Parts: sequence; C-alpha cells; structure tokens
Amino acid sequence: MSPTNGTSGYVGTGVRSRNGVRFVRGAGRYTDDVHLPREATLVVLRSPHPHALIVGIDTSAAKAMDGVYAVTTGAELFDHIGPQRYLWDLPGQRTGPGRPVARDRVRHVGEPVAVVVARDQYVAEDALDAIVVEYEPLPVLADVDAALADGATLLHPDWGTNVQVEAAWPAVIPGLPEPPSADAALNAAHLIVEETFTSARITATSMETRGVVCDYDPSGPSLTIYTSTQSPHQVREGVGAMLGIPEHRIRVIAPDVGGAFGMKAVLYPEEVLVPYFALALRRPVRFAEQRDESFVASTPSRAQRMTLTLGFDTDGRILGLRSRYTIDLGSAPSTCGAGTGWATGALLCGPYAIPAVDIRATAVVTNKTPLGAYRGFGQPEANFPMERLLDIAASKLGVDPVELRRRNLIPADGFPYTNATGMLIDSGAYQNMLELLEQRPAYVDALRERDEARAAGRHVGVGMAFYNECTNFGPSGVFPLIGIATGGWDATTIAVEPDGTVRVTSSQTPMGQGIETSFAQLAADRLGVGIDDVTIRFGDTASSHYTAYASGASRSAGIGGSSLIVAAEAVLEKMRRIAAHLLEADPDDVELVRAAPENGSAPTPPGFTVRGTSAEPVTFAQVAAAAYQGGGLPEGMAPGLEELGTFDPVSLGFSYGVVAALVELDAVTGQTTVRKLIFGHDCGTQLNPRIVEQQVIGGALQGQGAALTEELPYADGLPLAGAFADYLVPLATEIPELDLFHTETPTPFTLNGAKGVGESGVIAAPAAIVNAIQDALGPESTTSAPITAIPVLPERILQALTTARTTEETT
Amino acid sequence: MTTGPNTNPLNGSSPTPKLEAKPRAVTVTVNGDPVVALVEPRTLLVDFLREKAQLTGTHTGCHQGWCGACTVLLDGSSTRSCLTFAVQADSCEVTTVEGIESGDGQLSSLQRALIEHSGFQCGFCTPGFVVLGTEILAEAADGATFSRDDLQRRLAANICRCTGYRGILDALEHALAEQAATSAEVAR
Repeated sequence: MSPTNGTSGYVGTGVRSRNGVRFVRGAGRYTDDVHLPREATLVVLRSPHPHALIVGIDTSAAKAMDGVYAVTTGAELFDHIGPQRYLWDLPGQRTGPGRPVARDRVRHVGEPVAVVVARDQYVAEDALDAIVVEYEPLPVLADVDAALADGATLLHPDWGTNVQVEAAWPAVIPGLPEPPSADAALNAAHLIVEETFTSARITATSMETRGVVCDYDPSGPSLTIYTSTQSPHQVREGVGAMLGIPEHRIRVIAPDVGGAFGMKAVLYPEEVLVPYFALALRRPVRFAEQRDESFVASTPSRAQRMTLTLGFDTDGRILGLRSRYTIDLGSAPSTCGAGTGWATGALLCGPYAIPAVDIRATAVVTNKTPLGAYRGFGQPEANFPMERLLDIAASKLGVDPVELRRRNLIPADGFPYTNATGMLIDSGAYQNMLELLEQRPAYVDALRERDEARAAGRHVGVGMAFYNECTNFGPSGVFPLIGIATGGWDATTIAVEPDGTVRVTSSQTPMGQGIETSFAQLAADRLGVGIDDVTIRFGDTASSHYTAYASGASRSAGIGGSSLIVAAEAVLEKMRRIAAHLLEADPDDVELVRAAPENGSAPTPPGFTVRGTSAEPVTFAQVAAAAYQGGGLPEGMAPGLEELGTFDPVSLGFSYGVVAALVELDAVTGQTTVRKLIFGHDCGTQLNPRIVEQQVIGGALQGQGAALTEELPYADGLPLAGAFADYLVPLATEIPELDLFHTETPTPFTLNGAKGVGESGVIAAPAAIVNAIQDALGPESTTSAPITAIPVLPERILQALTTARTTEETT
Repeated sequence: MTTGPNTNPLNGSSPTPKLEAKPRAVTVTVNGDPVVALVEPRTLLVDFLREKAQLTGTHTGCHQGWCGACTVLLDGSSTRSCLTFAVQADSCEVTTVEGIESGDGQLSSLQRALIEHSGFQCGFCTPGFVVLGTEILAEAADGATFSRDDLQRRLAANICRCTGYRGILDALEHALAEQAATSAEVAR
C-alpha cells in the first residue's frame, strides 16, 4: 500500500516509479534524443589490430568528401588533449599514454586511431572507410600467461614489465602487531582444499550505449555536455583537466541514462573528444556509440583467474586462506585502473570469519580492451572461488554445505567485525539468514524436486551461495589509502519554493535504480509534506552540488539519502525559526505540523504551530513567503530557503544474503536451465521494497548470464563478440521461478540505516548456479574435475556428463 | 600491413561498393499523421522516425536487429525499424510507442500495467516492449490465446538488461486478462 495523501510512512512502502508515465509513452529523454542546431556527428576509427605500430595514416580522401568537417589523427591531437586522470590510482600503478586517440601504437582492437566529424552518422562512416592506415603488426599478448612469459613483448616498453600493479593482504603496518601467519595456519590444518577458478571477461551491455552531445557557446567559450554517465562531476573534472578549460565554463548534464551498471561510472575518450571538436569547429558535436563498437570501446570487467587455498580444522572451521590471482587488465588502465581487482582481494573473506590470510593480486596488461567497472566490482570474482571451494570442501569434510557456511559466518554478536584484510563489517545476522533459507518452503520443495527428478534419471541439482556486498562506498578519509583520488561523501540541496512546495537536488544520478522515487519518499517523510509536493532533480553540474564518486558502489540510498536527511533538517530548522518569529513564540516551542497526521485525519497543509496551543499553524507557504520577501525575518537571518546537506559515512555498510538455485541439465544439448532461484537478502532499512526487489531480480538474472552464457571471447587478440548474437544476455525465455525473502538489519553508519542493494543480485548467483550444476553432475569424486570456470557452456556440461558415464562404465 | 578502405575490425569484411544514392521523397503515415521527407535509399526507418518525424521514443539499442528497442508496427506488424529502410515504409502506416496511447492521452492497459508491475527500470527498452506487447494484445483480441511460456517466447524477441523480465511478463499477462474480461463484458 502506498499512501497517496498521507505524509508519514512513505519510506518502506512500494511507491510506484515516478518515471513510469514518461517511459511507457516513449517520452524519456536520453542523450541521443538531444539535437542541437548546426550539430555535427563524430565517429571514431578504431584499430583492427590487437597490437601494431601505426606507420602512417592518409586522411586526404576522407577530408575531401562532401559534408566532412574534420578528420584528425592521434598524432595531431597529442599536443591538444592532455592525459587522462585516474579515479582508481592504486599505489604503484603504472599507466599508459592515457590519450583518447592512439598516436603511434595500438594495443587493442577498438583503440581509437582517428576521428571524423561530419554532417551526420552516414557521411561520417563513409569518411571512416576512406581513411587509409598503414600498420606494422607486433606480437600479440593474448592472455595473462603470454604477457607474463619469459621474454614476452612489453606492451609499454618504459614499464620494463607487463605487470601494471600488485597488491597484497594483509597490510603490514609498522608499529602494529604482525598479522597472523596464513602459512602457519594452513600447515596446522586438518584439511586443505585448493582449486584454480576463472571468471570470464564480460560486459554490462546497458541497452543504451554510450553517447555524448556537446553544445558550443562562443561567449567564454563555454561548453554544455550531455552525456550518458553515472558521474557528471567526474566528467567535468576530466574534460577540464584534459582540455585545459576552467571547470566553471563546463556544464555536464546526464539526461535519462538508459542503463549503466558501473560501465558508465568513469570518463571515456569520447567525452573529451566531442567537446574538443565542438570548440575546434565552433558548433555542436554529437557521438552515439554503435553497438558493434561498444563490445570493444566500452569497458568490460571481471577477467580474473584465482588459485584459492583454504585450510580447515576437524570441525570444518576455516583456519587460513591463501589466494594468488591475476587480473587480465587489457592494454592499459582505464580511469578505473585495477580497482575491481583490488576490491576482489580486499573483499575476498566476504561474510566469513577467517583468522589468517595471504592474498596477492597481480594486474597484467594484454592486448584487449581495458577493464572498467561492472555491477559487483570485484565481488563476484571473489564470491565465485570462495563459494565453489566451500562446496568442494564440504564434500571432502562430509559436512552439509549449508552447515559448513554456518560454522564460518561472522556470528551475530561479532559485529562490527574487522576482518583479516582490514575491512570493518558493520552489521548483520548471517546465521539467521541461513536458517530462513532452510525453512523456506520453496527451498524445501527444491530439494524434494531434485530428489524426485534424480530418481527419475534426470540431471537436477540444488546449490547455494552466501554473499555480502560492500555498499555505502566511502569514507573520504579512507579513500586516499586505497588509491581513490576523490572524496567519498555526497550532497543534497533542498529548496522550499516560494509556494511552499519542495525541490530536492541530489548529486546522485539515476540510471534505472529509482532514486527519483525513493528520494521523494525520504524527503516527504522528513519534511512532513505530501509526496506530490516534492520534485527530485539531479544530473546537472550547474545545479547538483559537487560530488566525486557519484552513483556507483551502491551508495545512493545510504550516503545520498543521508545527505538528503541532513539538508532536510537544516531547512526545517530555518523554517521553524521563521515560523517562531511569525508566531511570536520561542523557537523551542514551535513544532512541525505534518501535511496529514499519522492518525489518518484529513490532509492539511504542512506548517508549524506552537506546541500545546490551538494557535492556527503557519503554513510552509507562509514561512516561504516570509523567507523570500526577506524583510520580516529574525534578526541576522539571511533571506531564502535553500539548504545544503552533506554526508560522509563513518564506514562502509555491508548488505548480505543467500542464493539457492535449482537447475536441470539437458544430457543431449548440454544446456543448463535454472528452474528456481531462492533469494534472501538484507540491505538494512529499505526505502522502497519494490525497488529493492527489482534490483535483486534484475541483478540475479545478470548473474545467471555470467554463470551460463556471457563471455567476451578473444582469439589471439581478436574479439569474437560484436553483436547480441555473439554475446548472449539472458532473454525472457530463460527466467527462473523466483522466491524472494528479506530481512532488515540497519547499518549504524548512515542516518537512515540503509545499505545499498544495486549489486547484491549479481554477486552470488553465479556461484549458487554452478554449485547446483555440480550437484546435478553428481558428487565431486565421480566427475573428472570440479567445475571452476564461468560461464559454464554446454560443451563443459557434455564433457562432464561423458566423463561421468565413462567412469561409471569402467567401475 | 595496410588496411583501407578500412575493414570492419570485428569481422574483417570490406565495405560494400557504393551505389547511386540520390535522395527521394517518401510519405509515411506515422501514428496517423503523414510525414513527408527526403531520404537516401540507405536511410533507416528508425532514423527517419527519430530525426525526420522527430519522434524519439523509438530507440536504437543495437542497429543490428537483435535487441528490439526500435520495434514499431509497420502496417500492423511488429518490425525492427533499424533493419528497415525508410523507402520500404513509403506509403505505409507506422505506429510508434508515441501512438499507443489514445488520442486524448489515456495510457493503454499495457502501459498502465507496466507501471503497476514495475516492467522497466532505465526505460530504454520499454518502447520496444510496449509496441511488441501491443501487437500481442491485438492478436489476442482476434482470438489468439497465449500461455505464459508462449508470452516468454514472444517477449524473447526483445532484450531488457535491467528488470529480469518478470515485471514485463506480469504486465502483459495482466493486460491480456483485462482485455479478455472487457471483451467478455461487451459480449454479455
């Protein structure tokens, strides 16, 4: 039930999306819908070679074509566009040229080589075809092994190595006691399990590709950049620095963003090229990334291989963990650097109490598109090895997999818990979540269905995985220590308009996660007004207060939401003092009158009254009128009614949950069908349970794609995926039956108790599905080797089933 | 090694030879209104709709025919407007997402159901699903029946990356049930 007139209790209810009426009419306004007079279209010529020297580029034929305004090479741009900066700048990281267009050497297929600006997309693509480039191919580093081999070609000769950065845990801090030895812990273990796991290179494929439109204003000159981004302020900083334009002359607007999933979290080359050419040509310029180029031009993610070792005592308690892993970073760091790889190590312990760890990460450059962020940001890469290895250990220990996890989860009375990599886990009731799963009728049914199907000779399995999700990414004081160049706080401005209605301007950016709706709920509750009297604005550096990290890392509800609360309290306090002045009362005696009281009586305008009197309240509109007239305010008070709230969290908030999957394998085709997903989750206080549920469901299906079908394959540096025909995202025919349940364990570290939920769905679904596949294949011992790589393609299933049959026949 | 005229980095194919491409006038009836424009033979219908008719509700998610965000009704049948040339639609009737609501701006039952069942998040694929679902509803009005499996197969023509499809499927089922109930009411 969503209240329509009431003003208390919007938070926690499933208020319908505020975007619905626009979106179902096709009235959303995305970047590519923005058209400006005299606009020209920019397209990018991309390298067809994974690794080559650029010997020469002949642009003369392209330049001579009708309707072509500019054809420019990387060499020509080199002195005009400075190097990019790095949001994730891990200590010791090596960086590449950082230029939007290659000058003399290309290092991956898709790397920009030249730029055309022309009358429209058609003419511009014609001109691309007319550019002649002479390349001298170089040896290709097809993967991490090739890049680390003795005598391997160096992608960046000045580095002297193909290792981009390394990281290790635990951190040894001088003056503090030495951390416990993982070697000693493993040596003392009753059982040691070890496997090597691979998470494939995958990509977000938001349905809207990237796009940039830049308006040019000759006064100044100044730029207005429309771009499909999660982080307008980050784009502004990047463009300003790379083009040498003062930031106050640049306005960045994120219109409706048609999906992002982390992929649009950082600055891209085209976001600098488009404004550069708008200035150079003194006219508006647009860029619309085409889907085929998106598979090489938008940053992919994951691409890790990890050897994970766990040591257990006789009771199945984890004594120690060792991990060695590589990140296949691509040709050079994107502005995201090796951030996802760092997060994997820092968060590898997940929800478990592990006394001793020894983790080493190595990011390696190869001839592929550079990695960036994608929903989960290093955590799925951590969860898959951990949750698979726990299942493998459970079978060797003869312990039920659910029970093994119960014994190792951080206990409910152990929070806040500082783990062996130094992460402070804020709150949770992990064992309770496991118990709820075991009692869940859908889970009990799934186990029964599995047993019945098996008895009938079908290949059906059940698997589960536990996870936690690092959310509310901050605080600013910690960011420099982990290589993040910006702040971790966020901001909201609240204005009460002259008529008493409310305009909230958030520095968070919507991209489908629904903050227009959930923030309206939060603001209405906090200010005591009806939700229809609240407008949420965002995504414009000219009105949204500066924020650095913006919308990513599941920070909106907790950090953005808390900054909204701070702003609401500030604006209420000012209004209360004005109201007291108008009522000729002491401010301490004046209280807020909500637009509709909680007892459900008829709606009244929001206002203020003197506590304990029947004095006629002064309304928000009357207070606002006084604030904007300015002549009759309390002594010394500034006119106006607009307040800024900022919030920097004390620490992170960890959402968590459990996923169980029921799968069936087709012995003829090798296809895996996910029949059921049972998903328990906890993201602290839920602002809007409907949105939470949608985030979990959508994320879980992306996780299913990562488990079964999604992969960006390369053959000796040549990408094999260039369309949705090659890159298989889940379709409507592939959805499982879903059973969701939730608990709410608020975090103590935000003002509203909210943790994030954006990435929860995607983290543990792959491990749960693969554990179920392994269960369907039969006990670990009867198959040749456990499944340790995702995606699990049909050929892998057929191979496992064939091995199992052969083994049966010979025994 | 020299490449150029440039090969497609993704499949190594060479560009097709250029044909004579003089613009010509086409008239397409879009949502009931005739739209006249000069187009090249290679101009895609989706570009005609977005730029000549200035109806930006039809989205291009891939230009390759796989994602379905650009779905429109061409003489009543769902069509990928990114795989259709504008000249092919000359003298045809096209319905875009902007033409689904009634003349006085009332949302269709499917549009309302998509809001009620949260059948979208970022909204980019939504126009394609609205148009595809409208075609399915029209078939049902003509007597076709659909199981949930049937609907899943039909909706698999389009891609949504946000929702996990459940809200879209629930919305379509709801709209079909509402339509069936209404027509039963009328019949009685």
